[in-house]
Amino acid sequence: MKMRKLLSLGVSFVLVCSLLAGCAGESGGGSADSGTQAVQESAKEDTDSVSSSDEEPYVVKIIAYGDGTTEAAKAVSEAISEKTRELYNIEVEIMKGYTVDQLNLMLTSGEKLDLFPLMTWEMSMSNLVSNGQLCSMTELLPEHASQTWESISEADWKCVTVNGEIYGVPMNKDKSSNSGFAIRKNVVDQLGIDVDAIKTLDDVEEVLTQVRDNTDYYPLVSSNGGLQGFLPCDDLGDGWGVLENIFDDDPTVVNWFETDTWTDLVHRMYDWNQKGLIMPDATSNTDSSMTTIGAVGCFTFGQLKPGVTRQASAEAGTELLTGELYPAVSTTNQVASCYCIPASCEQPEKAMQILDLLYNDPEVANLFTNGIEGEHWVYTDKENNVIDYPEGKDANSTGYTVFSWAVPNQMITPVREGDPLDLWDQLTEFNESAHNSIAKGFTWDNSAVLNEITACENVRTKYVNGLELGVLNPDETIPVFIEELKAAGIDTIIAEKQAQLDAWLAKNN
Amino acid sequence: MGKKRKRLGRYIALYLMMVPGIIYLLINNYLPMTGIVLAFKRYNFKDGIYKSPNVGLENFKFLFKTKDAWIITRNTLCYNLVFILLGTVMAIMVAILLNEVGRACIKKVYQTVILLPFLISIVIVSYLAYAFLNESTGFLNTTLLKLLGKDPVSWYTTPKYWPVILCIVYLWKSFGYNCILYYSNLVGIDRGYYEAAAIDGAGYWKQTLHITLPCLKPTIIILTLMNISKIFYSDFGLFYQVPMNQGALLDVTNTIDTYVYRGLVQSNNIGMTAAAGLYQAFMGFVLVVAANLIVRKIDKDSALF
Repeated sequence: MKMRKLLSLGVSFVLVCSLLAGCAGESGGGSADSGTQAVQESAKEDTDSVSSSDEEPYVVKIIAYGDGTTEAAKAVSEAISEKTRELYNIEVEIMKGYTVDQLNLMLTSGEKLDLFPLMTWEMSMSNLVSNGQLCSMTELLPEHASQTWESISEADWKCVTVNGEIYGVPMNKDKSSNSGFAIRKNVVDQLGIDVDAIKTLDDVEEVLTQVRDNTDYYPLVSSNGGLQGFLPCDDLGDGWGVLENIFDDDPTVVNWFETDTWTDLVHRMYDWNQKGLIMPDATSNTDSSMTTIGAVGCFTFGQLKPGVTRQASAEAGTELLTGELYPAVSTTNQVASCYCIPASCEQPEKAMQILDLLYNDPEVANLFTNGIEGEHWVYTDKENNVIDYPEGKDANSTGYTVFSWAVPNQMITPVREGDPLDLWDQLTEFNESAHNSIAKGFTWDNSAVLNEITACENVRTKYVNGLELGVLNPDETIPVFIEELKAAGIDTIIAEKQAQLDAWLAKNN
Repeated sequence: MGKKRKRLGRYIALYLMMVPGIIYLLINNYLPMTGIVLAFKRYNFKDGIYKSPNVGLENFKFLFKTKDAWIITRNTLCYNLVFILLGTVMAIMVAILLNEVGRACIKKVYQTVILLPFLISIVIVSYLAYAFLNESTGFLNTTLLKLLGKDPVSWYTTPKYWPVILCIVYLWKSFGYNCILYYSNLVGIDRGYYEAAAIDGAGYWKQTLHITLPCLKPTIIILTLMNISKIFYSDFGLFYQVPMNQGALLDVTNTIDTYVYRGLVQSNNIGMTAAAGLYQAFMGFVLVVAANLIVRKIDKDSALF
């Protein structure tokens, strides 16, 4: 009998093993990869110590925003490396097509990575800092990137400073935004809509009703299953405790989901959804609002800036018009999208040098942003520095997709055909004209309330998209939502944030 | 002493066959267990796993702050219980039916067709489900509900339907595999029993009840015990992909695995996700020991240990 038991135990072991074998194949491959990489790297270090004169170039691995083929990324990397090898004995390796989840996993696993873009709407700098995942730049900047260090204003550096240390180089792009909407041009023409007359949500409702009645397009579309934000609220980094209206200059931190502004919005959206003004299955739409408009939709809310109409039209693949609902504002988050060096980077000073080059050298910046001349773009007006896609290619077929704003410094790159020649001047002026949030430059340290934030995050996932897209009944759902947030500790977060903001304001004003 | 050694010699081949599996388990499942300390640390990438500061039970707090711990535990447990129950019943039923199919070639066709869903990637399954459930173009809303004269349903925002939907998807996808396991057992039952029973006048139903099922009992117990040991682990794809990661459905689709995944992806907080993982492992362990105790009470020989 004993034997039988042992046997059955053995059989179950074998069965379990065979079940696990599938998983083993995958994970095994991954670890083998990183293993060889580690070997290569240690080999490299050895040669470093042996002969310093004939050093192997250090490879700076950069993640670039947007999709691209491996070949295109390799070609661009090689073109930039030609220059950097001579200058600093560094090679660059550009990786395209990374999702934020993959980036997060890379940071978590400590994989080789030297530079990456941190978009404030995707990742939280204070989270990364409190996890110890970022490399401080405070000392590197003056030494290895003096040009960049001097050309960025102190106010902007503040936006990427956490606990007194600088952790990123802010992208030189639109650092403020006015919010409004984008709408299909063919629908505007067909229905004779006056886009400039749309100023309030009531006006918007009228337009959406017309679209519903007279066209086959879905009126309002969602973006990745959520509603594009457009209200002038300062989310103070992560949306847990916000300033309700930037124009009020009121430093009181409040729970956004308890404000009248948000409650009104949600009630309106519910009403719109009942009337059929929002696309069906809006919460399970996995495409961006632009892609959705290009396919089946007509209207979305969103953030604006000079040149946005052409950019949005290119993304949607159909001509769009844009209009403003709220004038321009600027908050920490709009400045704080930046390029960072992860803590796992072996030679941060080399990454810093490359970042300095990308920020200041027009040729390298152009290569990084737009790709290789003749292959990914051509000059249409060399004198004025205007470029376009080569004959017969468009944004999706060049193999090197461009998000011209998601680079260290777009203002030294050429403008695109169709943009005004003085686009960068307009953009600078736009940045300066914006109404600054009273808390602009404030970044907060959330390490004291991490439990509360994680708990609240889980509650938010459950309700926000459904409410903001009018799928859930606000009269029933909001009270439950608020109650769960309170249980999760939202009030503790807000008290902590208010204390930090008050201290910051006292020091900086 | 001598007797023992003799026995060892006799079964040495079997023991040797276990070695690769055990080594694999040691490296893959036991060594990483030292990482459990992470659940009690405020993990910092600079200091590494063992040098990060200790925070005691701080990491477990967020789980029990809201109803989350209760909801994800309830979902994980109840779904798995239903899956084990319905899955076993259905697999055995189909295996018996399959055994009755006479012609070999037809049997092969059935086997393949039954197994096919098991081999389909869960992402594809989620889009198959989407084709049924889409609000404006889905099969259910445009065809079935219309025929019955009912109003269309917004499936992806109505939690109450999802326990049923998930069960159907799970059964459709997985019963083929279990069915084959049972079927291979059925084939091995001595035909003589059935012949003897038939002579004694037992009908088909009686034969199934008194011969087939008792012969299957050991397999049923082992498979069920193994399933119970995994009762705190949920099929991630099923609970994450099939409901399309919809917030409104979280109350009925969130399990410990999806919860941990969301936590890691959103807040990147390794300490807290390790805490949730440890909670899962601990509860699973308790359950296996308990289940084994019960089995031992009922049928001593079938218990695993």
